[in-house]
Amino acid sequence: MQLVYGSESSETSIKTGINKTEDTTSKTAPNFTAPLLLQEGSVSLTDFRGKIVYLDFWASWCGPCRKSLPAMQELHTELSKSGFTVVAVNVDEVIQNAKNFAIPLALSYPLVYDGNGNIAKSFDIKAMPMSYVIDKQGKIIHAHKGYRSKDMPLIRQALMEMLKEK
Amino acid sequence: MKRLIFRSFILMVSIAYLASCAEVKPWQKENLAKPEMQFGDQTLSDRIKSHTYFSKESAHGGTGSSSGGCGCN
Repeated sequence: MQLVYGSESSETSIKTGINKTEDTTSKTAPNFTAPLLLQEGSVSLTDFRGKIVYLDFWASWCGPCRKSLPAMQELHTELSKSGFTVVAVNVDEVIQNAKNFAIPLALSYPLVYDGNGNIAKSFDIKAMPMSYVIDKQGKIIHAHKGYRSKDMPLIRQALMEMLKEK
Repeated sequence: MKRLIFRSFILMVSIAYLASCAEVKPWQKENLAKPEMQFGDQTLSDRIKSHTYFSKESAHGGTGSSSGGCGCN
């Protein structure tokens, strides 16, 4: 199962279930090790191997991120016990802007800091925000450009289906 | 003739190097997303005018954006 959805050609890709416009899907997600934004220490993408990862790129200057990050928290709260986690990668140049943005949201999923944009570059993100669903084997299954609240039920449904698969 | 071709080549290479356009990646648009980078100083009224404009003209784009380059409308 492959889905690529977002602001461009989202309707057709969701309906057909297959979208060939994005060549990033089905590739192994590039690994990274990055410092946590709000705590000491760092995390690697491989730390989450065996879980379905929703990797979300965001920035404090990105308007839709104000909506997407809390929506991701809902997903994380709902599905984290089923082998799912959200990992949010911040690309702010000034780390304090990111902290000021994230702290009031009280997010429980890992927030990592990518101030020099190396992770964003390795994923070659096409929009802000942009997110990827990575399967238990570390392969990119879904890519999602932008954020629209009406996409959330579809994302949730796709994740539920993936979590059912063994 | 050879000299003319050489000079033309040098001229073309020089022009190519003079072009200073660079692609700004989505994660590099922090400064472009700042309010002071917008053409107008009235962001809300500008957006309303823009909405009216593209509704009337059935055309969209080309007038800048107040967002951070996300894929959303």
